[in-house]
Amino acid sequence: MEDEDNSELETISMTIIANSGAARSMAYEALALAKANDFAGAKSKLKEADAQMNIAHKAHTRLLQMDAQGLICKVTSLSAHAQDHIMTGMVVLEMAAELIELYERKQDKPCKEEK
Amino acid sequence: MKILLVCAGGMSTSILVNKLKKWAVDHKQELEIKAIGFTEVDEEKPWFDVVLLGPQVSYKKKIIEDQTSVPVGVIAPYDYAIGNTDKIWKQAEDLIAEKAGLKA
Repeated sequence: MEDEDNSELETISMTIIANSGAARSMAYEALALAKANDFAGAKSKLKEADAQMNIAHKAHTRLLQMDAQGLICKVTSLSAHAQDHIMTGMVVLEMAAELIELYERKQDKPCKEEK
Repeated sequence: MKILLVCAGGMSTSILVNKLKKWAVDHKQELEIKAIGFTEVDEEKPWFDVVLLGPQVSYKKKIIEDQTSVPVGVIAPYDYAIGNTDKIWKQAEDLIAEKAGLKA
């Protein structure tokens, strides 16, 4: 029984790591697109990132629910690592959205050095 | 087949290492495999045939391609999460074949 629990914990942790990690990668790609003035591309990439993060988020919710029901007997370093990934991923996604908007606003008003 | 698996710190890819090793034993295939973090790639001597990246470091693909002459691929998030060894093995084989095809 305990083994089964651990294997589900591992699968959930890996789902969080893979999907929040992929979302973070996409957010960086979106930033690169914005830097190259492709704002439509950047925003659509960010949407993809959000959808990917959603999968991680659902797995994370499942993890918390399992814990609340007393189904998780121990914290593994992999599950802590998954928490790391989802936290940094979510921050990167939010910041990327802000930065892309800044790039877009700055487009018509280049810095002095860029003139 | 010699595979270098790369992720952020080398931790989650270590899980995949065990699964792929088991797959290779079950399917009687030769496999050398190691998981490392992306900062260690340039320290690694080129003993491997293919580099597979975890989806969380896919944005580093270009940088890693510049550091190695072997093919570099990104594992899809779903395959990575569930440890879809059949598909990951095939992906590695395809990448090597594709690169070899380009050279010929």
